Amino acid sequence: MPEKILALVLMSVISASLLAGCFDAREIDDEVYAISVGVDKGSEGRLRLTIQYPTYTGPGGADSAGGASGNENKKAQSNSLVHTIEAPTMLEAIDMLNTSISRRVSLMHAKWVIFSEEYAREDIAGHIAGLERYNETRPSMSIVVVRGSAEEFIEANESSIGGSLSKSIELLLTQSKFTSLFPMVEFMDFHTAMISSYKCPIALYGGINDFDFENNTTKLDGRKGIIPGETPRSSVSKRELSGMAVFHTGRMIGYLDAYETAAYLMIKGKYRSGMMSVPDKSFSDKNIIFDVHKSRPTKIKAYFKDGKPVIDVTVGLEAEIYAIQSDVKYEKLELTYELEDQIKSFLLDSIKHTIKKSQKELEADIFGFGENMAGNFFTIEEWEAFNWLSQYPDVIINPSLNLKIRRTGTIFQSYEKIDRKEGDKD
Amino acid sequence: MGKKASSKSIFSWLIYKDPSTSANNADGAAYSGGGGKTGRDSGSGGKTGRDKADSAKANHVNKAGYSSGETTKQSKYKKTKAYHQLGKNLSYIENAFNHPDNKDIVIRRLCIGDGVNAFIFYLDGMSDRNTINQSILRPLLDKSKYNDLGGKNLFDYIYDSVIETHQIEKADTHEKAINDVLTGNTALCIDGYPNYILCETKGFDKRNVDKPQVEGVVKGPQEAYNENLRTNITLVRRILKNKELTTEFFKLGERNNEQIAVLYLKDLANPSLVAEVKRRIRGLVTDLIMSDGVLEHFIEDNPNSIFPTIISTERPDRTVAHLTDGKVAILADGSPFALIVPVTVFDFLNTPEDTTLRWQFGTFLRFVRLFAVFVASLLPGLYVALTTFHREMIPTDLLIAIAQAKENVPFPTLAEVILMELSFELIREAGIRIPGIIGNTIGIIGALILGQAAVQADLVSPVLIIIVAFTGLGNFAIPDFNLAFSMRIMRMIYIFSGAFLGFFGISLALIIMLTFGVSQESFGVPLFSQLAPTTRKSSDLLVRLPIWKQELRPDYADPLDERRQPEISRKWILSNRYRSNKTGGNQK
Repeated sequence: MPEKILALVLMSVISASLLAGCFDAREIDDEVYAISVGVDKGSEGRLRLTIQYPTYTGPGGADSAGGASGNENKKAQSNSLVHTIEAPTMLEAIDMLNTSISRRVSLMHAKWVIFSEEYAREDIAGHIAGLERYNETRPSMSIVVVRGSAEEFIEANESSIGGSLSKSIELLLTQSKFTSLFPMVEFMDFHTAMISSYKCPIALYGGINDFDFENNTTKLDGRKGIIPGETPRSSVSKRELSGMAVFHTGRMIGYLDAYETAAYLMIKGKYRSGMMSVPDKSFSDKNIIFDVHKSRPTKIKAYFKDGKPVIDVTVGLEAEIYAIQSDVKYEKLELTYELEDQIKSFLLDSIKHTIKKSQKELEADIFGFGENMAGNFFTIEEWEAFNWLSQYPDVIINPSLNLKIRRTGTIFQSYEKIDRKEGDKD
Repeated sequence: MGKKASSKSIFSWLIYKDPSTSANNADGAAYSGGGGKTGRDSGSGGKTGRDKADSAKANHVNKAGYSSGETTKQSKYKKTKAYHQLGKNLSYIENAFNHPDNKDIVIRRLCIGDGVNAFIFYLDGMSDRNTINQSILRPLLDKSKYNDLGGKNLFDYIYDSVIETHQIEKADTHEKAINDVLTGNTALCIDGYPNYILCETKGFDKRNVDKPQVEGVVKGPQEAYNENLRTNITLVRRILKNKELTTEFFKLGERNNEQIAVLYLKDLANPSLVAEVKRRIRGLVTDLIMSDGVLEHFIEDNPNSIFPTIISTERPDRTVAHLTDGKVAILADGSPFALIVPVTVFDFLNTPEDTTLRWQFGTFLRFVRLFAVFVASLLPGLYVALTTFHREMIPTDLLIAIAQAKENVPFPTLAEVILMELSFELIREAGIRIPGIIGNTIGIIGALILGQAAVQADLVSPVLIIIVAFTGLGNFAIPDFNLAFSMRIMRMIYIFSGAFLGFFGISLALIIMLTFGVSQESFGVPLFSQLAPTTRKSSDLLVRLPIWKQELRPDYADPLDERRQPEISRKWILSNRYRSNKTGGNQK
């Protein structure tokens, strides 16, 4: 009897280890973990892949000089390395990198995959599908399209605040929660949208800023115009994100700028919070500054009227007054209502503009209204025959906005401004 | 018989299952005293559980006192009746104790009354000389005492009226006298009478009652057992002032005649449980029972189990808490621990402090301990599995930090973990053995050499030092030493299964361990009962409800009286309500 049990235990242990295998066991430091992956158009029809990974030279890069002088690396930035290689496909390129990198390159911890706009406008569906099947890619990594080259973008990607590159990327991506000037897009969202029949994929839109204030022609009036790389700013890191790239299946067809993206997020009900300045009606040179955030989830009604698809969208927002530059006491109730109407029409214009842009210019259902419309069809075949994505430009979309000013910041009432005589000094 | 069905199922655990497979049991059958039915006997036949219990109860004989008739029969020593002739008795005793080569035995010849020869014998050092002088020798040798025997023969007269010790007994065999003398008593033999008079003269050095060494608490009693059986029983009795508290004695071990005491509350403990405990003890034949630990090996259900199934406690208050749940405590002379049966795995995780503290605090402590069990058993295994198989689960920054720390370490993770675990076990083992006077050295060796220097020399990564230290902390937080020990061994199993098969392997090992665990029994009670099999909902399992809500005793021990207290034990609440109602009424 004991022999039988022993044999059984041995058999199960051996077969379990043979079948399930401890073959994919690998030591943590036998791999390098690419946290940025960039894809550009290479020469001779090849693809140019750039990866960036943190080195193991110790926190703060104390002895990074020794590691950086080796010939494995192309360029050492703080404690990370950037490598570029050309190959027919992404995964093959990653494989080929190991001809020069002494540790296996792993995509387990990739934070973002960056495509150059030039490449994205051709077609990236094949790469996305390839990554989807690969067991190391995380569904939570972001998809970014950059104006210019992905390689330059990655080279400009430095962590200037702390030593950790991965943390700087993770936190940069979450800034969407506070600014709402770019969306949060994960690989899985992109992939499902890419293969779906009721929405179009979107990606983050990035760029490289050359910090040139003189030649920057960006106009910020009317809340239009910011595209990545053209934010008038100067800083350490040249890479920046703003707005979003719009795709039709795997091909980029256009973009929404930062303010249009904010309107997009409002419609999607994903607008967490963001500052906004609205011109004061009484004083053309003065602004009222608001913090706007979501109050209710967006309500979408999709139905057919006279044989035409109609979508009613109700966006729920609330606002908090942060600054009134003039001395008009907008906290008074009747003035608050007026102000509310003003912001409402301002934001509704923005929302309408964005919807119109998606219908007429991009012809892409980036909002996923199709998901609601699909409920009007009994079978998937009927729905697919309807061909929502091609119908989308002609759909009647009626946006409306519920907006309330709920708070006035930390002050209840504006104070009287004291007029100072000329020549008075503090 | 409304609850016949349920009691039957519970009793079916309590009755020993398969007598034919147990060696102990075979001995038990061979050596069980005539008359008293053993648990095994009562298990046969088609009686219901409750009937069996009753029959066991009826046959249960309680004899308090040291020289109960229930001493274990010994295979080597045949019992020989004492002789009428003093000379023959004397030579038998001298022969038995190897006198005069053996200098410990003192044989004192006397001439009492009208020149009747007699002798007393005792073990030097085990007996109290003052008592022998004052209460035995002086009255025996006082001629005036023998003027009037009052019609009795000399033996009975001396038994009744001369000897002044507080306990006295007759023995008609040499062996009984010898065994009694071995415990420190004095035996008297008078010429012409085939009996010995056994006088209580125990008096040997013993340790004082001290603070608990292993089961310390912040709040609660600070008394622990010592090596003296009598003292230990007294400690229990002092807390549990109850006439139903019954102590039965057994002698075990052919060479050392170890005294074993079985304690239980007669009106509470299930008779078939008591019978089972006694049956297992009676059925033991061995030459040396050194301590309760040895006894534990002899009476536990499954000696091959990695899980302990008997609680060993050094605290009288904990013993009493279990006794009042209807369980049985077993104490062995010379060992400062009590064994408690039956127990479940949750009993191992509880300490007396849980009850002393307010219920919120006690419950919190229990969750901390549960976490400790998790850490102590699984943490290194999970670390190995995570770093070798599931690197995608580690947050990127931590992953990079671990990789940076490991960069210069030449060993694979598994070797590193094993190395550190072994050195930790070495520190533990050396810490126990190191002479107290140089005890500080272990701290220096452990902390400096193994911790700091090993990291600086790139032998292990600092993350692993943290893991091992954390695991060690978890292990020490487990209140029961035996359970902590089984966690130490299980940890190794999880490390290897994690190294070979990752989380899948750990899950496999966990399932095997749990399956094994739930199949274990403690005196017939499943080790995980209350959880598997589910019994009545407990108010003291993991979340300890307020003490006044714990109205029923644990189900698994099946005590004779299930109710601990009435549904409303805080009667003053009623009187408060009554009072407020009354005053409210007056105001109206």
